[in-house]
Amino acid sequence: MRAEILKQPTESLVGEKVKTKKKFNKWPYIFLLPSLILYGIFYVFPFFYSFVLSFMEWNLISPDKEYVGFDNYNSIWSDSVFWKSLLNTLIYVVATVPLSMMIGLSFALLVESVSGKMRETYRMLLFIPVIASIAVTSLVWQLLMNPEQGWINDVLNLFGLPQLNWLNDPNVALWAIVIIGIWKAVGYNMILYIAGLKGIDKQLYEAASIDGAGKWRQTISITIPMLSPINIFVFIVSVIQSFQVFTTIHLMTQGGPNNSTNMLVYQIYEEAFMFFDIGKASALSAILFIIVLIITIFQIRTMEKKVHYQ
Amino acid sequence: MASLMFDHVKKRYGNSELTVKDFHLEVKDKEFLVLVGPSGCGKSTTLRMIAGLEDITEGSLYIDETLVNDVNPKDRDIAMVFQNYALYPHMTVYKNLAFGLKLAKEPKEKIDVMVKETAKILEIEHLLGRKPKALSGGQRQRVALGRAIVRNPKVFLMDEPLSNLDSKLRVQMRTEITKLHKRLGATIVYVTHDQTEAMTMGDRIVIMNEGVVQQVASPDVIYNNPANKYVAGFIGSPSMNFINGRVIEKQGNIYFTTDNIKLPISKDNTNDLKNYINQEITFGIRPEDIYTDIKQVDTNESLVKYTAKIESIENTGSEMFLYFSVDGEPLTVRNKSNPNIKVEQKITLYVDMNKAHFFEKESGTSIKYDRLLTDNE
Repeated sequence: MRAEILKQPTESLVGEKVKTKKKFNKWPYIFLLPSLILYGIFYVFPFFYSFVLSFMEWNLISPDKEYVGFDNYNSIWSDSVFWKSLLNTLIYVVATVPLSMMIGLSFALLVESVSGKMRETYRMLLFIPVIASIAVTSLVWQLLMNPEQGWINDVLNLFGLPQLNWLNDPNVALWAIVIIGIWKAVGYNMILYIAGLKGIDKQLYEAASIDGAGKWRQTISITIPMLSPINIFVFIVSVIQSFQVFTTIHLMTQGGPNNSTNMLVYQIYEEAFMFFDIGKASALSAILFIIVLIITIFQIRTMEKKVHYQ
Repeated sequence: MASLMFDHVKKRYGNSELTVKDFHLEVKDKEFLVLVGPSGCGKSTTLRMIAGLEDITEGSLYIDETLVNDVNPKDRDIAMVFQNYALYPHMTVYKNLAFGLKLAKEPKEKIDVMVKETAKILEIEHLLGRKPKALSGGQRQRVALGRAIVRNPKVFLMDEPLSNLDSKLRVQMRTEITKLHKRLGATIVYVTHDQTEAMTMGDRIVIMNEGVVQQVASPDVIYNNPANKYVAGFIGSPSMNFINGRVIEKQGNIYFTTDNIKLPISKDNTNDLKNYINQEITFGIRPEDIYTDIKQVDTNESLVKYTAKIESIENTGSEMFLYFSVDGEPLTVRNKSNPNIKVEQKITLYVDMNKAHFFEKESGTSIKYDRLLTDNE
């Protein structure tokens, strides 16, 4: 008897649940459709199609595509420009990522330590490079870095330092691109770190200050470890973004002088739209994809152990 | 261990009203002082001023006769237990305990001994390798206590340390903290909004409301001789009953009257009320000082009979709370559980007039307070 009584309400509950589930609501999918179509056309399809193209020879215009197997990949291995641009890309990533993270964190700590209206002002000023058009700012940097009339050399001159031929000296040009890359990335990292700082429980600092920690000790022992979830996010996003550096090179150096600023994405662009070798460009894209994928997996694996969620 | 001295301490945030108004008190060495009051009464602010986490707007604070108004938290030699524990999430329990000692540049071997000893006292030795997120609420609480104990500070500050625990664990930790206090011989300032914690743990209780200290006394005195209506209503559960009325004199006897009731004042209290004849006062009686059965009482000298209809009943198992309405004001009676007592029933109540409290109507000050205070001395 008792079992039956228990059973009844349970059944009716289940019945209701099933009923609501059965009723298929098409509207969410209809609203999603336009963006799904665009996403499919401009992201998913090209992504897979470029893998296919990497095994073809095609000049972008002719209707004929010829299957060439691994020819494109083989030509890349023996291409000195590829090795040069891969090395440049790695140097760029290794220089830009840690510096833009460190400076971003420092700015975040400094901005957060300012009180009142000035905090917002600093935050806004430091964020401008992120939203400013890279095309415009590249031109501004080009003027600043002009060997004869540029302000940067004027400043160096003021301090008695040697003047540099920023964008035309093969030994310097890559570093000029690195500086611009850091300048552009710092504001974004700063905003992420500020968000992270705001998420840290204030009582941890109070507990630490009572435990005997001064401001510096609190930063080392509380702030930095507590920012680890933000750190891993900033790190991965920065690495991916740095691998894809393109616009500054395209507008300022075109990979020169003497390929000293040529990097993977710019080389892909060159192969595809200057030399019309879509097959080789696609093969380069596939290689870039695999490099970034491996690095990201490695990052997540190694850093997960060091992340402390509150 | 150490003493604390508040010399007319005041706290103001920005341009607002004073959050703490004239806190003047000495906390003795090895004393367990409890600050209790509703949210926003200034008790936590007072505690945070001792810790150095809040600036003192006016007045002076001394720890062991040293003025500490401008001393950094880290140099005050205090330890604090926070409501949500504030354990360092990225450190193991061991490192959480060792952090303060490490900063004090104690040698490694000594730290190890101290951490392990503390862990032993709190029975958390098996947790030393874990991180806070792998601990239960009660275990975190112990670690937070451990972090305070391990440094052997002059003063312990505890900011509602038990309010995040379930009720069973809270009772258990209450006794443990009391034991710990005896064992360590520590000076403890403890903040809570829970009157049971205050009554069971404190050597002395400070009751605060709206930034003002209402009364400072032992739990016994607070309960039996509340300084004012606020304290009387705050301590005790269910709260003291209050009825507004008038004192009158008839043929040499003094009565407390309202439209419908007339209670003769017991001999003990007569003198107190002589100056209040024909004045409005508030009469207060605790729910446990009204009986339904005259056999429950040893003496019936001061008992006054009153018949009323029960409006509702709350049964907790061992006892029941009976709710009445007297002249439109609620009256609660605490009684042993009795299945024969039913709602809507008319019942005779015996009010113990010796235990009655009287308060000035406007100020709420207790009329009996001064007499009882000297009686006790």
